[in-house]
Amino acid sequence: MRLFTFLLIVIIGLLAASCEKVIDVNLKNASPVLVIEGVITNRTDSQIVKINRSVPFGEPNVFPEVSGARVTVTEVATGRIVTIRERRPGYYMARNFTGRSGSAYILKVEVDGQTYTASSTMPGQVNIDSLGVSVSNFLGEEQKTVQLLFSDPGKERNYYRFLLKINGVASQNIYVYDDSFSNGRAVTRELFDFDLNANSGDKAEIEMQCIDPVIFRYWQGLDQNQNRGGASTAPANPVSNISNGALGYFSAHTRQTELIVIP
Amino acid sequence: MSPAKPSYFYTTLKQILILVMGVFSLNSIAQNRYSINGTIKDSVSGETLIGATIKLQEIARSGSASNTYGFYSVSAVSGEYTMSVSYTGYQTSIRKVILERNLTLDINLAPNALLKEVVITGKSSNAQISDPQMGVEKLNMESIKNVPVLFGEKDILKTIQLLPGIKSAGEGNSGFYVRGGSSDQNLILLDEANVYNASHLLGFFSTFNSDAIKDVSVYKGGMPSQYGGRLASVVDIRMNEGNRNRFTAEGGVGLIASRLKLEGPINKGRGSFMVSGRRTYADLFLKLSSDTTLKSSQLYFYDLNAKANYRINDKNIIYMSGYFGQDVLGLKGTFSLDWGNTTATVRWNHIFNEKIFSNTTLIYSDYNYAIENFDNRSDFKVTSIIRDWNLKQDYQYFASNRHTLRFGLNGNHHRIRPGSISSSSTSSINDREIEKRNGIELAAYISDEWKLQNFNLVYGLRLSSFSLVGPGRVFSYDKQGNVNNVKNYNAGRLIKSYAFLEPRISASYQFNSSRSLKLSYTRNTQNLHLLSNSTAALPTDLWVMSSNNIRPQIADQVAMGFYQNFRNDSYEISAELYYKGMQNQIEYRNAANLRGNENVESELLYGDGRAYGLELFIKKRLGDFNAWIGYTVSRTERRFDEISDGNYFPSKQDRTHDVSLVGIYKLSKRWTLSGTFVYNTGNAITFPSGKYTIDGRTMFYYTERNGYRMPDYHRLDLSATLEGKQGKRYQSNWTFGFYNAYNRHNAYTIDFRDNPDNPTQTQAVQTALFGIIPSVTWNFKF
Repeated sequence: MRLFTFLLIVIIGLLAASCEKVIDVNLKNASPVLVIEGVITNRTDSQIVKINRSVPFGEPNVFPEVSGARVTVTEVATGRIVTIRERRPGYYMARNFTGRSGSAYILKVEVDGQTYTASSTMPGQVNIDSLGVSVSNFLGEEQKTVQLLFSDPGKERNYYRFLLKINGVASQNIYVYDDSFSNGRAVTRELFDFDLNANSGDKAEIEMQCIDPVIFRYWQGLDQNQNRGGASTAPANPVSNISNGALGYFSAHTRQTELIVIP
Repeated sequence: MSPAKPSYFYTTLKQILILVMGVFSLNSIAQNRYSINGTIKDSVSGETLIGATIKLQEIARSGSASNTYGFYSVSAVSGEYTMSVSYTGYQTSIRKVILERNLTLDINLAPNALLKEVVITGKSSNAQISDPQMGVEKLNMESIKNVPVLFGEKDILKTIQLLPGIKSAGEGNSGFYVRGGSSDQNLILLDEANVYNASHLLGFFSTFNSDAIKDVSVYKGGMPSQYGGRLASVVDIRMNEGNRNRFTAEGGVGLIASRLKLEGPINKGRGSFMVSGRRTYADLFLKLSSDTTLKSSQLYFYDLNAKANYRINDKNIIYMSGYFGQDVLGLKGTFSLDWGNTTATVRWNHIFNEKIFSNTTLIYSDYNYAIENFDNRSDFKVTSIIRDWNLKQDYQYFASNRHTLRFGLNGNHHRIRPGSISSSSTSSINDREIEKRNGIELAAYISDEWKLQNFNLVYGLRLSSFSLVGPGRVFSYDKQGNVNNVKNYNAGRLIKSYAFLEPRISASYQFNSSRSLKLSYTRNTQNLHLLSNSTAALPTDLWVMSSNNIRPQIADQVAMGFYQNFRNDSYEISAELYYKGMQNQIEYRNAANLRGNENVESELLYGDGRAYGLELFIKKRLGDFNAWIGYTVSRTERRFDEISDGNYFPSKQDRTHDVSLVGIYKLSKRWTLSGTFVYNTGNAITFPSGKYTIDGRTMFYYTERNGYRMPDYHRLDLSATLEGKQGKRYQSNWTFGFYNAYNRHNAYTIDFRDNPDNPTQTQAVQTALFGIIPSVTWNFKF
């Protein structure tokens, strides 16, 4: 899809000097909705649930935290129930608990007399084999792009999410990938970000997550809303795996982070 | 209907046809009637004229029109008559005929250079009043040559967007929406061949090179029963046949493209040919760029139209025509994307006798694309093709002056190969082939145009069927889109079939020679559906066929129209009111994946639609100043269980008001000025009503589908044509134009994002596509 968006931009750019301007749009103010972002990983200290609320479009990006929720995670196979405690307003974290590949987890959040639940299964881990940097020239500008290489297991469907930080600044792009075109192959992914140019000496941090298919689709939905590129399908709230009308998601995934200094 | 049945079905149909022909012939047998038939042509070029009016002046309302091959037939009891043949833009031919046996009379009409009339439609003066057909617009290319267009490239698909009820799909786009239908619901025919992707360069140009086009008819409603397969409209485009009298060349040089057309007689006018080509050269400018990436990129299209015909004898004419067009787009060493249409049509006109005209057509049509990625570790090539083989047999039976019958059969085999992926061994992409699909459309139709005193009627019936046939692995899905059954079918095995009876009725009541009222009811079905999640006509949009999951789309349209001419037919006014109900419309699940997905049918949602509106049209068609004003007020809505709680929501084609003004003024012998102005209120669109944060990113919260409106759109285009000094054989002209003359920045998209200068705030950003664009074109002819 990116290729086509890119093509469209190139063509439009060539045909005419397209022009952008900030405008006022009179948008309705939707009443606040609960947003839950829950993550269970195979690494310690990253079992985190954030709870806050949405705000109207015209307001600053300050999202009211929701305190005092009762948050638990159940490991389905063992029946173990872990209480996730509030460490600071709206930020809930479990210590002494680590997720495992192959396990299903159920999140339960009770707040203001309402109960929200979700489940997610942590896939097996696929490791980054190596990192690299590719150099391309576009419109006279040299662009360095971080690449990662991994071997996709051929026996199962795999879904990935990648995160990129350059000198501590996180890319706002959503990088998700599935193996529908490359099952069982050695895969190279380029984490291209037009706004985040990597220069020699910069430190790039890459995280690879193996996510479940429902979460893959969730991120894809968010990405389609963000990267419209003239898409005619109406944007819509991505389908959440959380019940009871909350926004957000609950994802059990593996994590691997690697560092590279841009040559 | 199973595939074994058609033979039985056709036998029955044949019996019905014989019966019907018998009934309609009765009156001609009872009296001593004779008929006159022949072909009507332009006396200079020898091109046949479509829709010329033939009248025997002694008989009230004896009007008949020449068909798409210029053939006509009128009949009367023996006697002496004054026969007049008229066609707008031509001198009316009047002659005495003594009718005491059947006559064949070919008529040449001289183009009328003396009459100061800029032709806007090819219809004769009051045809709009007397013709029972409603919801139709006929344009000949001569009439639109002065209408200003983007980049100075004459484009029939953009010009028809200035007519009421036909809306542009986007800025500078050749895609269009008719009466609330989506752009894939338009049946676009080039010499009867279905053109799947009628656009070049992502929609900024249509595939129709105006040099090669003779005549266009657009049906917005009341489609005659010989057409079928799409819900919203029929755009029937006919190519030029070529000059029968002498060899000529014409062409043009513009900012974007150049054109050349050659035509001439074959074997002293027994036949003729026409070849017309066009190529854009935007990429030649890229070569001038200092940037190496741009320098090595490709961005162009070309197309070629060719047609030839040959009159074997008085009863048989053979036509062959073809179109080949290709778009090439690429960045050297990075990727390439090529796509194109090919059509070929072979037709055989056979005149059985003075009353029965037959046309047999064999059509080949394909649309294909190839994407290539050259990146060495993820290289791949995707190819996709849609291919039709279509056989049609049409009869026109001029039974009497009261009845003209049309009937015919049609069989069309479709094959869609959605995508075949190949790659090198070092690539991270696997080779794969998404399964081909085969479908067969069969249709039989009959219609009668029945003329009474003041009441005229075209009524007919189309029986259509669609069958999806094997081989294939066919999936079924549950409500959530998960596979719940897989079944394998062998080659030729029937997977699923559908059959429909489609009534088509259009009637007019003529109060007097300048006022009429018309009513119509039409049912249309559609078995090929375009899945697209882009605004621009991306060449990679996916066509799918009706199947066990996708049901045929159905539209029922009723319309009523009022027509009035003033001042000796120099002004026309019309008002048409329509309501259309649609079934089995298609939307997509959230985050639908349409590319390389063998389960693409699981990504679809099905619902209903409705569209209604009023179209007003005023036209001044004679004199130095010609103009029209079109106004449409309309609504288009859809209802899906899974969207907006099952309530009706505005579809993306919905916009309330549309106004278009077109004016052409002949200032002097050499200068013609023209202008168009369009104004429309915004299309329905989905905007966020709130925002929230996910993983440190601002995300937007949507509460309703298409609950907002884009800003109003308006634009003025101007153009001026200067005719060069007329040489004996050589003519030339210059056309100067301004698209978007007052440089209005109309919103193409509105996006929402964090303010880059202040990340604690969000903002709405409007992107405009085209500012003012000047153009100049030089045309020549000799």
